[in-house]
Amino acid sequence: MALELKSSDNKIFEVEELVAVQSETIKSLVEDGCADNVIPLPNVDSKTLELVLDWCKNHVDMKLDEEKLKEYEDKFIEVDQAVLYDLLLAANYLNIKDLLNRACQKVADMLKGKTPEQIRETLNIVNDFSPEEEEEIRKENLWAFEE
Amino acid sequence: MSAVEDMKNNKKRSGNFARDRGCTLNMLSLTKLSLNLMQNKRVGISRKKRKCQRQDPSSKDWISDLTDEILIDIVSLLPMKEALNISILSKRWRHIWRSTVILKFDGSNKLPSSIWNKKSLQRLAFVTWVDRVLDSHYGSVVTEFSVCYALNKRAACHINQWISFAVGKKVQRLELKLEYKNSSFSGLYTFPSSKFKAEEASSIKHLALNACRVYSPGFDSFRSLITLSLDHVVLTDIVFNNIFLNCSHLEHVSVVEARELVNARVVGPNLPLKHLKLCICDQLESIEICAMNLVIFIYKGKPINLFLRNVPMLREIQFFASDVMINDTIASTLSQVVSLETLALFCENVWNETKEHLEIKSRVFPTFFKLKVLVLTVRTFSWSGYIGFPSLLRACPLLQRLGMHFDFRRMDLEFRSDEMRTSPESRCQFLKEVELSGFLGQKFDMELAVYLIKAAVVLQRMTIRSYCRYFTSRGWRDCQIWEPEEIEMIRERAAQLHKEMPPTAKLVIL
Repeated sequence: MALELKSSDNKIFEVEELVAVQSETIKSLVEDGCADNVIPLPNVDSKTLELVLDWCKNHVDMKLDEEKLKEYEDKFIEVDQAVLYDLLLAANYLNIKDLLNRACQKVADMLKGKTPEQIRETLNIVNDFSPEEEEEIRKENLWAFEE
Repeated sequence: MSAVEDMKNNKKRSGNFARDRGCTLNMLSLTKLSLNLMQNKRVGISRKKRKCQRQDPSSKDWISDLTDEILIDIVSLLPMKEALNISILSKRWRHIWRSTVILKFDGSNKLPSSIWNKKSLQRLAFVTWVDRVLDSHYGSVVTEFSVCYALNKRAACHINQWISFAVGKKVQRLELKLEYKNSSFSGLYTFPSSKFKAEEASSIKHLALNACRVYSPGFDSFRSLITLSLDHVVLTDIVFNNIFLNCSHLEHVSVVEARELVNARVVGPNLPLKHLKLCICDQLESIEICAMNLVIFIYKGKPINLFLRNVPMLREIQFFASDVMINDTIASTLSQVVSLETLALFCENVWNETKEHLEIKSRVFPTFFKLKVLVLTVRTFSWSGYIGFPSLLRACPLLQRLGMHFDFRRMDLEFRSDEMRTSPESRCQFLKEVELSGFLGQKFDMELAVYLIKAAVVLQRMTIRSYCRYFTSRGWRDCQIWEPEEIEMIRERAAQLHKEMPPTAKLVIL
């Protein structure tokens, strides 16, 4: 059975139900009988939706081959920050657990092993603490700053 | 799911403040918004519009724009130490870690501070730290709670509270790896199994306990348990046997170093158990298994009475007890598992030239009709030949893969048996892959390799490893002990086998 999904920029994607229901969100719609017409996804653009659907399709195809799937996932998530951001939001919105987890893991890997200063630089986070506040936090979390 | 409702009403996404994260975080986000406005007014900073999407994120802080839910998921994946590091990034991030759904306290390698020299002070520091983190924890859900640190019954009061905390947050994976020293079983923390009410323990799907005592009622109220791992524990027959009567979803059980377990009965109604491991249980005398879904059974320890009733799906057995192949009872029990495809054994005295030499030579091994994979770890200080080897191969007519892992501690390597020098009378019709680890390139293993090449008429691949592969109760390990020059010599000797290989087969030397 095929479903039709419409991205925010009005592009229609036709997908197998089996692939689309990897998204818990879409799955609920199907189960509630709201999926007869085109399903609008106003928060996902066509570029991201295409990627997401590729993920879902491969997870159906390679379900039994763990090694191959892992290889695919590793390659899939090698994207720049812009795409990663869109994927995170889309995976969250569509509630696709494994995609969200993998994307979160990718971000976590970017944060791992770095000092706060390094992280701020990589991700352009502005430090809005006063020196006193920062000192207070450091004291609170003594264990973490024991390097 | 608010997203679903959005779609049903065709509404645009609103800021996803998960309801149970509490008001504080909402206010933090408002603070962030006003900060944004303030920052945009500051002189000298380029006036980039802080829209949620469609900007070039490599030069703006896109990550802080994500919803709280997602940030919490990300921070949950970081080790505790780093999660706390994150709290200093900016105000947006300060309290994210407090809602983390994964709490892992691993103090095993990182000591807190150089000023705490005494072990007891270090322990105190660790325990206090965990207490404090749990006190500050804000979210209503924790999916994973894990403590890895050497603690015993003196910390019982704290550990009990931690468990209450985790259970209250509906934890699914609970790990208490309290470590232990010098194989001691005294002073162990007692897992408070009697304090769990049925509903409380029902969220736990994965439980791992190291260095604990478990008294009745044991795991009776852990109805949703899927995996159970017990390492260095004290538990009686009743506690162990009841696991299989009460936990009706249990698929994976591993028990290593259990005291007071004498007669293990792995029997239960419609047991979904697929994987069972029982290693180094010093007082164990018998194991009875009646598990219709069991696929893998691993045992390491002394020879015991083994009763395998109704194991139609059992495909793999790793049975590391000495003298298995001499022990008629165990050998025949194993051979009666009709579904058996993979078998891994210790081989020690089978082929030692002892006074029983002649008896062993004429030994007929029971036939393993469906066996496809045979792995032998050969552990012996003195190797005198392959007396029983050909008849062992005959006992596995359908064998496809053979692995022999030699213990590197072999010293006395005299090759004396004549059986190997003659051409194999029985060919292994299906043997495609052969692996030899701990290879030395000495006379006996070269002759063994040649024997196997000749016996395996459909050989596709022979792998020779210069390092050793051996089984421990915590998994298979590889161990390289030779210096690079010695490794090179071993590899050169192994390379001489190329000329013996049939053209269709591949020789891999590692």
